[in-house]
Amino acid sequence: MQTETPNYAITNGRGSLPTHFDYMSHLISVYNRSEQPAATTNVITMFIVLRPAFPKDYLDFERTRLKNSLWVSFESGFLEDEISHPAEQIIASTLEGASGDQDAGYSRLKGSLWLSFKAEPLEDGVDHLADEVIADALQSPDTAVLDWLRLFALDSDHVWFASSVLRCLGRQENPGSRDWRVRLVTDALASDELEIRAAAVDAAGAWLDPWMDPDVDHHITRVLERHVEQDQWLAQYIQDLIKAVESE
Amino acid sequence: MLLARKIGLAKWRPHPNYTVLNSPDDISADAITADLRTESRSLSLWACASASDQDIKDVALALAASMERLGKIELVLLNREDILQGGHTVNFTESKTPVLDLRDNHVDVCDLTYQGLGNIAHLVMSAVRSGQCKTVPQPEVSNILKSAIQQRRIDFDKLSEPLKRKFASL
Repeated sequence: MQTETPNYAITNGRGSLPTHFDYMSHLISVYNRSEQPAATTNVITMFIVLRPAFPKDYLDFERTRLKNSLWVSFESGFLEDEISHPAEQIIASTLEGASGDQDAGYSRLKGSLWLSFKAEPLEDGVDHLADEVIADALQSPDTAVLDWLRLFALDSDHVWFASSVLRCLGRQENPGSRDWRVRLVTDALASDELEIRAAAVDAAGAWLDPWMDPDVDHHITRVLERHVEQDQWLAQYIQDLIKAVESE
Repeated sequence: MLLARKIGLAKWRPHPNYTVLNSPDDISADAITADLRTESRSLSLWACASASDQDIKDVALALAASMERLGKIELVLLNREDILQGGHTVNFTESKTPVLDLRDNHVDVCDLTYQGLGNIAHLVMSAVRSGQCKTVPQPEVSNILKSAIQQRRIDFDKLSEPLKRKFASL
């Protein structure tokens, strides 16, 4: 087991994620399997949740008190090999469609978001793990983060993921620049996928809320007004949103 | 009398790919498990006299004041008579919403079973498909909360911390 600086998330339920966990004087760090020649190197994050579990010694660290281990891997074979004991109820997820991009930051962010949305869907008015993941990512000085988030939000090959990321971005206070937000809403409204377009309207609605940004930028309103929506339900939602904004 | 419930409308709309569902009248399992969660075999709803703007706003207010964070609110409106005709019990029960004058508007559909919940689900689906639903966009939810706080209709201390921070200046 490595003792490098932890780069992981641990949760014992819904709510905020502590960024460090020190259990029984052990540091549980990212389990980098690169030293294990027989195993994949692509385990990027392990989430550990507390409850008694069946003791295991097929991994190199103390797991007798672990609740669930959530494993993320680019290779399903690795998960099938490791996650074989039903008593432990390990929740596994393969990063379907992962691009194999070697950028560690991109992979970590995508993996964290993917897993959090798989664990629990995003609901209006309810906090979600991904809120903090994205908020933390936006604090990064790496300007690539916005590019990554944009890619995730417009990924029409994984509509459920894209719409979740986009709705979650709407829950952030002024992510990126105004131009960035306007471009994102514009491009998402141009998607062929209804779910992504609906998520764009959700995000626009949040960014048009004066209680999120007192200095509301009505460029987004103009984008909504110019958009021609084929779906009747979504078209009505857009009209209701524009009306709500203009009545303030 | 109408009874309103907060749902995610997209889950209840007819699915374009009917190979996913057994038939166009089928309901996604996600819709039922996510939007019709019961507690002690009871389903929570809010009474409103009509589908007027003010009545809808009051339902939205009762719900918004209990939310962890701001967001849009999507409501389905069911006829109380349809629920009663299904053999269900509907009782007014006091709510813990921070909106003091709306606490008595809360109802529970009680003693639900698998079959009963299925009946309710079909009522929800029918209501959504016939347009008996309403989306209250987030800016409007914020305005509704703001007005209620200014009118002192809300026990401010009972709001979630994020909502308290948002409206602290009022």
